[in-house]
Amino acid sequence: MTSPIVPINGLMNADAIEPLSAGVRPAQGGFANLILQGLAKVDQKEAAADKLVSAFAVDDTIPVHRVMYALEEADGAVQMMLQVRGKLVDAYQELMRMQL
Amino acid sequence: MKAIEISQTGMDVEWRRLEVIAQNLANANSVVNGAGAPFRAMRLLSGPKKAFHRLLETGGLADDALAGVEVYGLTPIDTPPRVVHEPGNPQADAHGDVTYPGVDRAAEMTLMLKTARVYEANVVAMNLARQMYLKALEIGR
Repeated sequence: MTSPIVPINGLMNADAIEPLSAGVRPAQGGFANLILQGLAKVDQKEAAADKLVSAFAVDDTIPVHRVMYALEEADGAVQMMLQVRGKLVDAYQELMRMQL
Repeated sequence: MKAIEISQTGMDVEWRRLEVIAQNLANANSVVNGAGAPFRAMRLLSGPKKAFHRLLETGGLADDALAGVEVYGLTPIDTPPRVVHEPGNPQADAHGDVTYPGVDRAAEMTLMLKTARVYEANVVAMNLARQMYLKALEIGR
């Protein structure tokens, strides 16, 4: 005798489908923090450079290379932030272009 | 940007050294036994920041071994003072001699040129380090 047709078992140990946003949200928080941190640092450096320039205008004993270095540091921080912004915008546009 | 920080400390030290040289030259005619404090020509002592022993210990590039230079202090030069016979000078002593500090003007000028060249070398090093930094920002463009 052939064995009877074995009934199809129900879905066993099926996990619930996790919502998509649970995995995505921490990464988005990281990106937002990245831009905010970058902005805070740039602001700090600009403020320090500004303070040093006005101190130099008043008091001549601050070596001039210190003032120039502070200005260059602020400039470098702005350039860095522009690059980071460019990369993040590119990544966002790539994601938006995906066909769903 | 540690290379830039190190160049900054180099520029600080050379700036101080130039101030000391300028002081020596400005006081070349200050009478030693006249009114006010007697002047002695000074030299600036500088060297690597105290973390140099870390460089020897670790035998290479530990993080705090390359820390730049700093001023260790001033040391007086022990050249004998110049004694000039000027009886008409109101600051002359009983023998009519006036003592000036032993400032070797040729040595001071030579040291000043060396200081200026080292300062310029530090500026060039800092500019190049900054160019490298900005080039790195072009990665992926």
